[in-house]
Amino acid sequence: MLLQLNNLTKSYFGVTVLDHVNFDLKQGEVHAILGQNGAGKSTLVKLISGVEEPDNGEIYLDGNLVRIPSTLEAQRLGISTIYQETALVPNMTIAENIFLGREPKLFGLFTHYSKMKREAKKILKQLGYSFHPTTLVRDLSISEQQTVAIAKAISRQCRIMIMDEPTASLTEQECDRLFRMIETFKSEGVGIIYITHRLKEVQGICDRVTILRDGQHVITREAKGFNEKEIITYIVGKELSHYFPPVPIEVGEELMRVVGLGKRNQFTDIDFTLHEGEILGFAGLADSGGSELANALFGRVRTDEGSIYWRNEKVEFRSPRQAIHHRFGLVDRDRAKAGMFSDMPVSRNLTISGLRRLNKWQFINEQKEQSKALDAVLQLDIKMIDPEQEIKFLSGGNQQKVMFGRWLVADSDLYILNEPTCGIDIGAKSELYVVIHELVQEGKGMIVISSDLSELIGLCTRILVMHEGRIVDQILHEFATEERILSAASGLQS
Amino acid sequence: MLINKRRMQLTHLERIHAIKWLANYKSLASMLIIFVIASMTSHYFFTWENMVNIVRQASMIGIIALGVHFVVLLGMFDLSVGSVLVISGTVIMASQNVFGTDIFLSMILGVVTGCIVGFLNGFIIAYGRVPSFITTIAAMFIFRSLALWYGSGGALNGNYIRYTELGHGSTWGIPNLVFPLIVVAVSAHIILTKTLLGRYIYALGQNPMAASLSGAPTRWIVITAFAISGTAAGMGAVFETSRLNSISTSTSGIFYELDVMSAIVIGGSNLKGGKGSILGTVCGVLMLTMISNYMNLQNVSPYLQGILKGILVLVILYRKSRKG
Repeated sequence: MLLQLNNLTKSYFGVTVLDHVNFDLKQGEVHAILGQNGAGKSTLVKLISGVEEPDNGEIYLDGNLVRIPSTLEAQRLGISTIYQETALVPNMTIAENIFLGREPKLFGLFTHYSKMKREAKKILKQLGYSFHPTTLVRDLSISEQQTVAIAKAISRQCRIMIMDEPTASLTEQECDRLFRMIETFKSEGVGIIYITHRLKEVQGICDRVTILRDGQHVITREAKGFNEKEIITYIVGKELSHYFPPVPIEVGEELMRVVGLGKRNQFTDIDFTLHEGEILGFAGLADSGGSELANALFGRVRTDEGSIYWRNEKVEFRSPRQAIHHRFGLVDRDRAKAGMFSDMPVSRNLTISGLRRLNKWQFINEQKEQSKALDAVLQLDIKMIDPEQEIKFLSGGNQQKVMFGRWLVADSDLYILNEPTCGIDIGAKSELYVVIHELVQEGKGMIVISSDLSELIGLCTRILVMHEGRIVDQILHEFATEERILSAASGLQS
Repeated sequence: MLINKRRMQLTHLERIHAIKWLANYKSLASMLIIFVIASMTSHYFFTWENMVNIVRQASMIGIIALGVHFVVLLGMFDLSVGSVLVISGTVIMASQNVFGTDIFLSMILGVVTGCIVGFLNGFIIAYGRVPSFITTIAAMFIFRSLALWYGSGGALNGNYIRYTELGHGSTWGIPNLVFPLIVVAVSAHIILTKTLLGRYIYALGQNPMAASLSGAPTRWIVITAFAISGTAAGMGAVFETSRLNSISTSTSGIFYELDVMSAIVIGGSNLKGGKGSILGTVCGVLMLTMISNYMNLQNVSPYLQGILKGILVLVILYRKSRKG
């Protein structure tokens, strides 16, 4: 047994987040850890990678009892962690990042650049990539950055690799490439702890599955023959009957019409209409222009050509503020960077966009604010102990609910959702789907940009597929299949 | 039913609020500790005259710090306040001599000058996207130089002799300058905690991108914050000139920006923006003043006092960096 964890327990401020959890990892095995946000997955990872120490319980490596008091010690023991947001230095080159802190030295004094570059190139080649090792990391796409993080782990001769949602922001092709890499590591005897929300991957690449719920170990099983429905039942603790609410088919009047919208190098000739009570999906591979289009609709960037009509009136936004005045709302894919005020209470995070209606002579009506915030909390069932609690203490799914709630408080009529369920668990996901459903029933319009095809198919009245900045296909709900979307998105005309 | 019950649960959490409330008063607590230690070790420290003295000394840095506080909450700097003070002071003095304006009009002109300079700073930062550090350093040079040129490097005197009654006089035993200081502190507190502008300032300081995407008028906020900072420095000029009925174009306001920044940091504000309260800044100013007053009483050379200030700022920033 490569790694064995016995009765690990950890609590923060009296709240037990891991309760006597057992876990083991064999050599050359991919062991998935599944569970909702807040189930204890991240805490478990933190304990193994030396970010935190357990309150109780033992960690055995090769049968020897070890303590992992720091990340440095974890690295020394051959444990590498690849996080969702890669911990790379954007302004350094690939080679510098891979060897950060362990640069090969010339005369024990100067960095041996040529050797570093050679080594980096070798490792990248091994992974099937051919970047130039002197490229700056900030110029790489997210998946490429992840590859660099993996290369960093390999160069450290790691024996246990922890991957925390590695595919969360990857396209299908990039995922395939990652899975091939994982196969190679397996054959070399590396043990991989794989954390994911995407159940499909479990069947494809994992050998065993451990499911956690509310900080407790639920089950460990062979992945073979463990079907998705069963897994969900274990994760949620009850049978999930309606994963997706019914798709709205009846739509109302036209809300928005976009004609010939274009921005150089990002998207061109975008035409579509959106009706009241309609969920319009945008599919596409990474960099197909969907996010950029969302930003343009919201006034975050200016467009070069074309026009937007909102309720038959031509609008042109110079800032998100103007878009919000027209009752637009945007939930960005990156809630940490572009959404949350992490040190502010949940209530203020909820009301920030609706303050225009909650003030009198510039003074905030606090009573009204509190009551609006509370309404949103209850409608979305945001789990927290107190609306005055800082949002940073909430789990990812609940934070995302707050991002939705912001537009509920602002009383938006159009919701632009860019990857609304990125990195949140199934329970929270299906709750958000219900919220989306309720909103469209009130006659709101929804634009959903997502790389999760099953989400688009399960949710949207219509799906527009983008490829290299153009809309290449329009698919009604009843004809939507993953195959059709994928072939259009990759530029093969159906 | 269930929802109502949950609603009740969520609204009855006073106990947690009380704990948070105490945590917010860390700077007040540290100030009181310094106060108690100083009172116990020096006989003269805790006397009415000395208390009045401390408050009078604190009023100058205090009024400026209240303005700069807005800028610091945005995660920006205003290093021009010393120079704004001297140019506003020059306007106050010169307007009396050149145009023969009434003293009240001169004071207003001085404050307006500060406001305009702050507005210009903010405008360049918001629309030119020049970092505030650079912009305000430039303003620092430009306006100091302008004042020096006008006053030929010397002092400018006013001609209304009773003006010094404002700076030196007292009402009901309390120095006159303390009253405007309290009014400004209370209004600043109200602006920051009760108004849209205040909410937006905290939001912008914490996460500029999220603030813009939530509909905060970001440029307007930046400009307003700097205009407030400039206005406060203009009021500082009134304080300064009312002491001696003159302004020294070469020495008035020198290093004020640094004293102000130290006071704000000691008061618990985060230089990265988004965190800090007016009460904290007021306590920070009082702490600095009390310490230097105490050292004067203990016959520590004034030349050495910078060392203690420096160490104090270092210790506080060090503790913050350990926490964050």
